[in-house]
Amino acid sequence: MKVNTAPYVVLFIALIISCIGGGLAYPYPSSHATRNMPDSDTLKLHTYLKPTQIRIGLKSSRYEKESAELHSKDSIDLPKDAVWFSLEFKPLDDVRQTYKRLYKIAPLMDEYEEMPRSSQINLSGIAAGKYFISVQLQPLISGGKALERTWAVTKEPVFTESPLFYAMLCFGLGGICAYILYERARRTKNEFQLRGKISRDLHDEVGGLLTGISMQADLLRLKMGDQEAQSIEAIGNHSRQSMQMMDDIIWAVDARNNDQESLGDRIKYVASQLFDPLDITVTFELEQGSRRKITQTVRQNLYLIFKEAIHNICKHSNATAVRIRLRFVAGNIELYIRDNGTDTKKQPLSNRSGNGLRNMQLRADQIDAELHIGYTENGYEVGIIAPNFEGRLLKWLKF
Amino acid sequence: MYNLVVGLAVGGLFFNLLSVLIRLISKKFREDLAEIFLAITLFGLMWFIFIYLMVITQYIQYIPNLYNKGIPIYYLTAPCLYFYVRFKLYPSQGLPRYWFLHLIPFLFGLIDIIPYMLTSPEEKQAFMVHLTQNASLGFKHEYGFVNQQWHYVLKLSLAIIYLMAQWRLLFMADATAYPYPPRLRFTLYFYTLFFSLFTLLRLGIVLNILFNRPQAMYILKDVDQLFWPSGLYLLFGMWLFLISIKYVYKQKQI
Repeated sequence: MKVNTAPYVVLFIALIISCIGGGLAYPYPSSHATRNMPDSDTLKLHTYLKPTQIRIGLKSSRYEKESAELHSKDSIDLPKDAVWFSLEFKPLDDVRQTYKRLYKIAPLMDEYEEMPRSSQINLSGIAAGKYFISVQLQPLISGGKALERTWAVTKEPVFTESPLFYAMLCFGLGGICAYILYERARRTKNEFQLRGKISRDLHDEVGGLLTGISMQADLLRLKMGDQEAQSIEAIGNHSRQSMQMMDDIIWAVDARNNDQESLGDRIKYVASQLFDPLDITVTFELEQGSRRKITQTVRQNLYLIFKEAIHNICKHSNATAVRIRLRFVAGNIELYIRDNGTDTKKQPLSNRSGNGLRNMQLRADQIDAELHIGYTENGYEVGIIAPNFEGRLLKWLKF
Repeated sequence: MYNLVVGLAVGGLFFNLLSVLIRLISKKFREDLAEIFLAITLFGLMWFIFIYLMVITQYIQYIPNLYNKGIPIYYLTAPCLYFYVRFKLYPSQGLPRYWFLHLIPFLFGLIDIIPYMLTSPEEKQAFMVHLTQNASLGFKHEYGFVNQQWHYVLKLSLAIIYLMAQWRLLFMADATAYPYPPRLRFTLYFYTLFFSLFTLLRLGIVLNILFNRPQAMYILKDVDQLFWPSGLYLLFGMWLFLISIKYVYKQKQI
């Protein structure tokens, strides 16, 4: 077998580039710590900028002292459990009349402030990060020379101060929300899966049997006499009707059909099956290529209302043309079935048709839809306007 | 550590760039709307990391015109990935009727970058120098019509909302989508998982800054913490590159 090694070679080369790239591509960021080295004339003054002691208070009520080689340090690393920090300086006894000492801790202070008489800079409740402590010796008389020294103080974050901790916290909180959403989605998913399973089982098991029955009935009809043939034909017709009904059920329960195109296709299919043998011309006004989602209950009820309406046309009307329109308008699904029949049997005169209309109204009520049935100037019309889930959401938001 | 973090990010950028280029060159990828959406997502992510890298390595001061240009694209990252997953699971479903609503944040970002674009080159240069000294200026500057912090809040909020919708899509696919290959399932879960982790890490950084505002610059440049997103990005980039190459190779064989 021929192995294509090209991608692995590119991968290897890229890995090498990436590994050395980091080292070549950029300079180190410049240090913010500055140190003004004293010249011989100001050597004495510089002693006032040298800390005599550093104290670091730790979480466990302990504290550490550092005093050696402080004059050479520009950066100070605090332990992770440091909670306060103090820099002590030599008091300005000799030069108090001629100099004042100022300090600033960036980024906590924007301006310099005068150092307290205790000659200490204290920083308590230190959060993780980098601080720049600047001390300035400023002359009170003109002609004097200002001196400054800056230390960079770094405190590494403990785990609870790191982005990783916050990310984990969000993960925990998000996990709770996700679990609630998961439980809701799981119920819907289970329902959809069950519907899928029912429709598959019906199709594969019962559908196969019914097909077998109708075929056997057709074969028997050919062998039997006239009297028996009528009964056998009736069996065949009943099984074909059962298959048709079952096909409807399979389509209705399968959640994968919850979209506009599927409903449109089904309407076309059923209307053609019923109207073609009766020579009724059907005109469809359906939006093509749109797969907008329709909720299960809305789709099922719309379909059943539609079926009742077209059955009524077939049974009680002498119509020659039917117009079917399905469209989405402002979050609503509109379905109109109009025919040019003149027969008034479509009025709820008989008990059966009266039940049919009542059922249509009940189905419309179930999905908060408006149902209009009656004659218009263009013919007899059954119109239904049902809010889709988006429309329902808006309705809920508006109370 | 600094070298390692930048090296990992550079590696990730390299592989990500290759993957985007493959999507631009390959006709098979170009014909697939889902892959175009993915390419936009990858480009948005790549641009974000590239600019971040330029800021922490201080090179941004040499290319001030590139700064602040990515804001509109960042707003496209989350919706494009969502639509990628949706198109892969439901190929016959077109774009939703009100698809253009997803572009509103993009337009908002586009308008908000105008003030910086119109700033003089000298001012841009000076701002970039300040930015390299203090990375937190990235969300404190005033070259925009709104407080720049809102971009971070909005971007992350949208990312979380789209990711939740994406996870739901994947979860419900077993029951609502027609059978799809296990390999595709793995790929979609991987993308969603990677972007969820990446969003989580970004959320962690934003919250850390929120609770320790004075140290925003330190947090944004803390290489110990940046190691995780950088490493994750390199791994993602390598995986992405490999599956892109594999896909193109398979198509050629067919």
